[in-house]
Amino acid sequence: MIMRATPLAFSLATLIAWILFLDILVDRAELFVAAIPLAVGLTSLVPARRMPRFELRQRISADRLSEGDRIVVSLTVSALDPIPMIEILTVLPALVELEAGHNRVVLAAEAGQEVGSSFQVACPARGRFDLGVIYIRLWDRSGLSVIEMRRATSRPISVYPAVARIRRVPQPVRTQFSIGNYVSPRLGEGIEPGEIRRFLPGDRTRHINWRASLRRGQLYVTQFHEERNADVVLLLDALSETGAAPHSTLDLSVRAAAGIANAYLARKDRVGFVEFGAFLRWIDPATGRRQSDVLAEGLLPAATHFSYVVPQLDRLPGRMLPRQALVIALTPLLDERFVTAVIDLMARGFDVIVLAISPIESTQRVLGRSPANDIACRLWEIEWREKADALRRRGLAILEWHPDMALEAALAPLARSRPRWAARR
Amino acid sequence: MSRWWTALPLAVMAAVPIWTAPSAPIVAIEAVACLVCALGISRSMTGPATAGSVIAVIGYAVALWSAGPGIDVIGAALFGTALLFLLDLHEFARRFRGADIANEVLRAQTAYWLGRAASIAVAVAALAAGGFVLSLLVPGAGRAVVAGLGAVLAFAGALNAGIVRRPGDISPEA
Repeated sequence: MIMRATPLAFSLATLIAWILFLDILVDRAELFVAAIPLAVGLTSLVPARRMPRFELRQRISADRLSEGDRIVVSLTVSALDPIPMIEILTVLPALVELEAGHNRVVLAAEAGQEVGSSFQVACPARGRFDLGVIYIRLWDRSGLSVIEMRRATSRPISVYPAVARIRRVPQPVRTQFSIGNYVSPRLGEGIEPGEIRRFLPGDRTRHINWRASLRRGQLYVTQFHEERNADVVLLLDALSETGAAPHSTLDLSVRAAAGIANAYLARKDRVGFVEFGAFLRWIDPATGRRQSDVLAEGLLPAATHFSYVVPQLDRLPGRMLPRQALVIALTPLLDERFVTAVIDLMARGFDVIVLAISPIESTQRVLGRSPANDIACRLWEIEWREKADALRRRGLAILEWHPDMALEAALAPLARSRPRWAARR
Repeated sequence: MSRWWTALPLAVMAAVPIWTAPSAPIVAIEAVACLVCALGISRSMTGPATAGSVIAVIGYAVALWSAGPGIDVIGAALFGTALLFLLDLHEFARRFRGADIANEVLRAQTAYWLGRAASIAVAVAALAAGGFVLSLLVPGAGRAVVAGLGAVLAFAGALNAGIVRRPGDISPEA
């Protein structure tokens, strides 16, 4: 808490001194009379013996919201002593936008009175923000002195990435051992008919294929494929980023990761997450609604940090990257270290799909439209597509996603079918 | 509150010296003062507004120096009040620029300013009357002693306000 005189007090003091000096110089009583109003004004500068007592309460309408949601912040001042003027400034984080009302208000309150104010903010970008930092100024009516203080209480809000609804996702080539929605190449209990073989003792009679048996003159049974789930690991490229929040390539990657994770979790698959940036951060694969919340929390702080260190996926625990897992790499294809890591994963036999998020639109949004920028971006797009094609030629499954198209449309080419032979290799 | 309310005291501040001694140099000085003040008001800066007031005081001093021997107490009081309100209104608009000011605050502040204008009128009248009475009672040589005594009292008052009651001398409640 600081109490200080304001610039107005110094201005008045300067003017009084200057008037009295000129008064002596020109020897006229009028100048002395002219100084009287200023002196009367300056006499109001009497420091307060005690600061007015008050309570400030802040209420936030929601603390967990999705990108683009709005919240209302309410402030209430309960005055125990009369407060002539209280100026309250709620500090808004950079990615929180004021939408209605004011985050800086000037209020007055009598003793025992409650006054308040509220404003609405929009949260267009994911992240954790704190709205608890408030600056308070208590002014006296003369404006000659002010008491300043800062109140910092923790008022965190979490803005989760907006999740696009995806109905069809790329089919994993390999499945796991738990029951799920994919037709496994393994034969066993299931509803998807597979091969036909001769009846053996112990076979169930309801599996007898009567048509084949009548045609061949001996009993045949139909075998069924098991329905199994899959392990999916989302590999997020946090080595590079272009564009500005909330439209940067990393923001797009996080949104895509959240949507894909939810789609696979809805199919009873186990989903894990690896942030491949300056340091490795991961969430073990698991299934269920709780994992959806865990992944949303895990995706929230994803950010790029500069580092010369090349992260090594070998350092991940074995449970993190199961051998049968489908790895979906989300990358703008800007950093060669990430591309190398993905190629290495493919070479180690992992089923890898690369969702290449176009960095051109995000960059163009920051640069603005001009003929030179447009030409540069078109050339960059040609170069970027060539890089994606080069990776395709090396055997990687590449899906290109431009921000102006639906994520489901980008995933569609691999959502229908994937080569069954790949599952048997 | 709009900062353009400061135009009213600004006009009074420029008009009083011109009315006291209408001449080209006074008009020029007051025009410069107005321009500097307007710069401060438009840019929300206290420095130029104070500088403009200082120039206006120079203009008023020049006007008084070139004017006749008669004493214009009302004009001087108006000039001083205009200076005070110019700085006060400008500072109020500057410090709350962009903030949402509650209507109660504006109402109470307007009442405070009107009360202060009244107290200034009373103070000027009382001091003018006191000065007139003293001039009748005190002989020529004693007036300097009275003036010196007043200066000492003013200095003591300033010390009391600025040093004895230090700004930090408040209870840390709430």
